[in-house]
Amino acid sequence: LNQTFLQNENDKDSQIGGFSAETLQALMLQEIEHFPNPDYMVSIQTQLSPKVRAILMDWMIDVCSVYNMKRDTYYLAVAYVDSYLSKKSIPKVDVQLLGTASMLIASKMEEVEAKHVSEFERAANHGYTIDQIYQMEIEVCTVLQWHLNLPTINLWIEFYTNQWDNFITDIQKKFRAN
Amino acid sequence: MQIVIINSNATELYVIHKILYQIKDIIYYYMSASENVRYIKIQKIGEGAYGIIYKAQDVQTEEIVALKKFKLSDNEGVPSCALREISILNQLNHPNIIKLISQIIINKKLHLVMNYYDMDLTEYLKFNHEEFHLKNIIYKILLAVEFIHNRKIIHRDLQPNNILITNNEPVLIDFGLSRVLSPNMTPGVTQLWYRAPELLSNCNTYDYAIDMWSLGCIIAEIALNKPLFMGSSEIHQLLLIKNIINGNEWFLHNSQFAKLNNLFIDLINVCISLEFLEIIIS
Repeated sequence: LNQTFLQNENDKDSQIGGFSAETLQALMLQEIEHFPNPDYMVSIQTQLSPKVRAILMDWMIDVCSVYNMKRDTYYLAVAYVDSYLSKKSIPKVDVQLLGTASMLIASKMEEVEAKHVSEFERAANHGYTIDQIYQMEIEVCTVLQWHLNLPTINLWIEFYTNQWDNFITDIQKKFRAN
Repeated sequence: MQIVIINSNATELYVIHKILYQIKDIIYYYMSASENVRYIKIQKIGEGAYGIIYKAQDVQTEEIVALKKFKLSDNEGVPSCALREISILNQLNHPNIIKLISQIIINKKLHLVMNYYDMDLTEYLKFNHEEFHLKNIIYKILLAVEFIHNRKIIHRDLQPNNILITNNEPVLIDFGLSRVLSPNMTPGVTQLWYRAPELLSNCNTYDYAIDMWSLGCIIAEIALNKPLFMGSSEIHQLLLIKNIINGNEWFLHNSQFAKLNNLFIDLINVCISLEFLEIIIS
């Protein structure tokens, strides 16, 4: 990565993995600034374990696929959950509420037509009232300091796969030239 | 507390202002002591589907600010336009883009606090200005738009009303419709006169080019002192666009552009290019 980055640095119009150099720089700075704490399970959370997070993620991807949401929406919600958890400790009971609120925010940010709260309420099997979800929504926003445009995992996967595609086409060109 | 002045003529206004000025400190003292009041609403500036914009004064710094009020409805919670606007403004830091000072939630209402400027581009163009200033404004707008595009954000509502002018410097406002680039987006954005052809033909896979189209229209408006396409409906707008094109050679047949510099026409042509549309048609 570093080599290609340096090679193309002089050339301003060049594209790296589908992004221009300036976009890539801005995205990387954002990623560095808002990267979730990698060991929040140990250092910040008291009641959670990696297994709880795994169950939450499984449930969230289920909901997202049932409601036909975009792939980006799910990963954005995951990013909200992770950055919330790396800033504030929450009890085990509220983990699903956090997931619900994150999906609500992500669907508002990313979807063309946002899903209604009642659908998320139903997805959580009416475990939480709509007021609770709204309250959690505002809390997530304030804890994240309204930095809701996080670069998602999906974006970086796209970036690396695009680079891979470019690499393959280059090899094919060389192969044909020989 | 809210001070609203309705239908007052100049002398009344002056008297009120004088009285207010004398007791200002007392009012401020009681207000800041009684509640956590930070801003006093002075006047309503604008209203939209999202909420209301007020001109207000900061009690602590005595600075004039603009307050944008969103209602947190039971139906939706925090509205999606508010979420997008706050998150986008939070990550943008540029001299030609409006600064979000803070966001506060009082009584289930979300307030955005922003700098206040009193003149927009439409009003600015009503007076005569030196060419140097106009060029500077165009250049700064282009820089600001490049800045947001570099962060994968589309403004989607570029129009002269959303460009404020202070000391001959433009400031870009209103990110309520803007969002991060994504493969699928709604085509019903931008004011009709500045709407790109791909939006008019209901395409939902557009990209940054729609901002460039609006910019082209704005630049032409700065040069001509009137809007370029003034359509009354979507079909009429498309017709007007079609009429002004003569094959691929833009404007050159049109007498109203005769006085303009060739470089200037080139700039407009680059912004309002039809390449994307041709791809769709072919």
